[in-house]
Amino acid sequence: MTRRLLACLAGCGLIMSHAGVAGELTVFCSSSGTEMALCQSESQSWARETGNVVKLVPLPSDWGTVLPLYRQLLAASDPVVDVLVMDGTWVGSLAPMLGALERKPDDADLMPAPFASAGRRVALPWYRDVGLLFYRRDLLEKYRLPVPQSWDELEREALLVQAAERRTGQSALWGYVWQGRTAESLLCNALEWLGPQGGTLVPGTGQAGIDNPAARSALSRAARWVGTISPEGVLSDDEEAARGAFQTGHAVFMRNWVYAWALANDPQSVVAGKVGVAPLPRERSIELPGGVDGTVYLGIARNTRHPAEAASLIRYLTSRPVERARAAAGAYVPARRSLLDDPDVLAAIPVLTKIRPVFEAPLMRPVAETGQDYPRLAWMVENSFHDVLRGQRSAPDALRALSDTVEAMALRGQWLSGPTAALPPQEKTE
Amino acid sequence: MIASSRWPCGWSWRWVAMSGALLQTLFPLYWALVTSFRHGPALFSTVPVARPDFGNYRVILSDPTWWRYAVNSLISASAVGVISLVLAIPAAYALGRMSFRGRGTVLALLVGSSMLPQIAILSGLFTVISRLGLYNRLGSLIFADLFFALPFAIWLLAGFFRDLPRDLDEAAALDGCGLLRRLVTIHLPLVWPGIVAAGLLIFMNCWNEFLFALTFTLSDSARTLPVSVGLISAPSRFELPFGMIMSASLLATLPPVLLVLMFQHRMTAGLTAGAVK
Amino acid sequence: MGVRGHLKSFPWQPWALLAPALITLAALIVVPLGQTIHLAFSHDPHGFVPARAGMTFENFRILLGDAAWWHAVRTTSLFALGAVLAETVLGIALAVVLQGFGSRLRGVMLAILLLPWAVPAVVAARLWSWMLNDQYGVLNAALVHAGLITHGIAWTASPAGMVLLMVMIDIWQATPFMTLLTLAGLQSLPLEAMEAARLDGATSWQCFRHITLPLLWPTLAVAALFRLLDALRMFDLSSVLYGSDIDGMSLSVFVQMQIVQFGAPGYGAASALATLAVIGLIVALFWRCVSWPRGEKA
Repeated sequence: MTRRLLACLAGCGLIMSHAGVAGELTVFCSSSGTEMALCQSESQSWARETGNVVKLVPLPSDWGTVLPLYRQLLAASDPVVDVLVMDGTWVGSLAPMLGALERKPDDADLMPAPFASAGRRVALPWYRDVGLLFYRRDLLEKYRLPVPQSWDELEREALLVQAAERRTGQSALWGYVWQGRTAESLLCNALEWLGPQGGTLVPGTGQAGIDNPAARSALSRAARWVGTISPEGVLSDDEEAARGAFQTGHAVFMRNWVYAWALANDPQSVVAGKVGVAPLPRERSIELPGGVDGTVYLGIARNTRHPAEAASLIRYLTSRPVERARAAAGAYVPARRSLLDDPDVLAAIPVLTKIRPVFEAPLMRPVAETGQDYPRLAWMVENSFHDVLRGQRSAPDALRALSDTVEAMALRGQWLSGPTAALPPQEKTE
Repeated sequence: MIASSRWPCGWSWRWVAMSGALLQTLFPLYWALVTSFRHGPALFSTVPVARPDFGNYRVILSDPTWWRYAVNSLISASAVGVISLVLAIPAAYALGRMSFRGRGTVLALLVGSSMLPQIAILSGLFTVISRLGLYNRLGSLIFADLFFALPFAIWLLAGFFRDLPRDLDEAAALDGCGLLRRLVTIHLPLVWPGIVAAGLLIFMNCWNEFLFALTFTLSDSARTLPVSVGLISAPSRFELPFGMIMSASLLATLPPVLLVLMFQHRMTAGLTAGAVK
Repeated sequence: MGVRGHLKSFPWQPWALLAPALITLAALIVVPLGQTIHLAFSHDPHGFVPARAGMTFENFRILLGDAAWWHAVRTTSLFALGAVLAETVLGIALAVVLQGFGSRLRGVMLAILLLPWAVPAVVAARLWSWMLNDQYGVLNAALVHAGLITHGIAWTASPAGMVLLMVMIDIWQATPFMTLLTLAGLQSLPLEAMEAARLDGATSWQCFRHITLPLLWPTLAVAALFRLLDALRMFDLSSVLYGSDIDGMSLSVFVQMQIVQFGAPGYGAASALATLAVIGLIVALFWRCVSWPRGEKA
């Protein structure tokens, strides 16, 4: 009885799974309102032009649950998905399961460059994002302060405004809010504090590792902020919590992504019209402005039944006209160098003029260097930095331990080197 | 009574304790309600009252896909409830009323399987479900949810069967009653409260189940409410529309709440009687 | 068993009754668990190195030295034991308080108390972290308004606070369940014993301690066992509140991170088996502890 039932169920499943129309592509898109709408209209217009059919599937709003979903779907024997939208940090882990993309002369215009792993190009940049400094223009004008260019300057100004405003009764005001929750965004914040001087997490030949004096002082400085210019709650803040504090008028400065600009200036926002945006401060003000790159990529499932159609769709979505229209309709920063100075794009995203330099040379997370190990590396970095910020560990201790761990992981995962025969067993975490 | 002289004092003390408990229980729910009336920057406001604005509710209730999700939840939770009871009743009868070799082993296996974290079998279960062709169908959820529903139902009902008086069986056996007839006509009516309690608890658990639903379903046709609440997004990636999420959550919580209110007495009776020793 | 059971050499009846349920459970558990055990002894891919073939004990060896794992063991057991203990005590206390009210009022109050129980844990976690936010959370705003504090308190800035918050949310959700059970138990107690004790001059505390509690004990112990099993497998609270923070990570979240976030199915499977062992150990210890007083009374 049970067996017959199972056989019947399996039969139904077979019929269902082969019912897909030839040329029907399943595309994963963010479920966010604007992005979903754009994704819908863009892929439909491609479908009309080429005579294919596109089915859109919305992603969970919490992007943290998407990588697991992708792993599961891409590893399945039966192709469930053809085209995927990916956060820049997943591309390394998903690379072995993504289809290779052909080189095109047009690719030189893409910025950042298409993502390559083990000699295969597996993802094209779709739209860009970057870490920025948001500030209360009204407060800086009131105290005649310039927009801070270095982290020390930011600390001084935040202390000054905070103290002065609290004397006038604004007791809930803090100087600087950022993302201190143990999550990817803390890693981004930390890379921005460290800057190019602070060494890299994954040192290549001739580069300084993470355990160096500049990194130690940058991390200690950030730990000093907690409880002085930043509320202790910043340690559990994500992007939205930081925006909540800034947008209710509780902070002078905020680090966040591009999306916060439109929301802070929402007519109902307390701080609408009083907000400015600038590149993040540096270690020294003469350095080039930095900010961690948050590009979103597009890729193709390796087991897709329609590789040609899928490639054609993502080439269409990343083409110049579509990227330009996307910027105009939804203020998404295009991932093409030539479009950053395009008058239509600048008209749609006026703040781009102020933050233009950041897009030229953003700080990159070591996704390409670490392959499938990036999520674990990021996890260990975040937890180690979080311990420092919370005062459980000193910056030198944490950085030394972290540097050892990274070295062990590099050896085991053969980052930066060709395959070697020896595989010494190493610890997974400290 | 002796206590009559202390009555007023004890009485007020009771009221203080009770109001504390009620306040602690209700305030978070009240705040969820207040939040569900808000949207945009007003979300971050800490003013303790809000003008009832059913905009968020209207958006959800007027969207046919939400009704679809609700129907999916209803179907899968009811199906799991019914199937697990049908399978559990005979098994619980055997464990509760018969002594046989291997009974202890079966009981231990049941406890063992309720110690397994869902995540420990998730990827293996995914393979099984794809093989059976159940992926992205409600059947996958119904199948997977039996993982926690079935041991629970057997465990709970076995206690009930055990507590029934022993002479029931003997009298029935002497009358020449077959095993199945005995079970259906004599025992089943007596353990009815337990069956209701087990069914309701399973229904509530499946209604709220998230991890399996997220992993085994993909499209609107098979998606259930908890996952859809997790899918609510704002116009941009990092923004969290908390008002909308709260109104959807409150709406999704209504059916189990109504069930609790309706069947509270039966559940109480059901749960206390069943306890395997 | 009746007469017929003795005539047959094999007791087919109980097994026939058990078969459908056991076969279903086996279909659900055997294959996945087998796969987990197999994976636990397999290699994982690293960086640019694909997974190697062959069996290995390495996953378990690494797990024993993994500080994050031991942290999760500590967090989970503290959370589970703390929550179950608090819920049992509060549940009994509330039930005793409730018993003093008239039956209609009691029914209404019990119904209200039960509401949080129906709320999914994911929603509860989001709601509480929203209310406890130090900048725009309503609880801090109320405290500031009352003049008790000047700045919002960051409740979850310390590891102890993180576990405490999870315990608090769990108390909010699960105490009413214990109250419900205790109350039903209280109502089914034999009144004669109480009256007799009263007449002998026992105080209400003595009555409670020596008559009510021992009689309630078996019910409470089983209820607490179920709660403990749930609490030891807790996933939603830790995951929603703290994400990938090692200080607030429960065992289920640790396993889930290894498998789905880090793409280490072997290490994840090994930690899943170890999790099962930890849960089994705690449950066995717990059961010994709660069974003992009952044995003494009997």
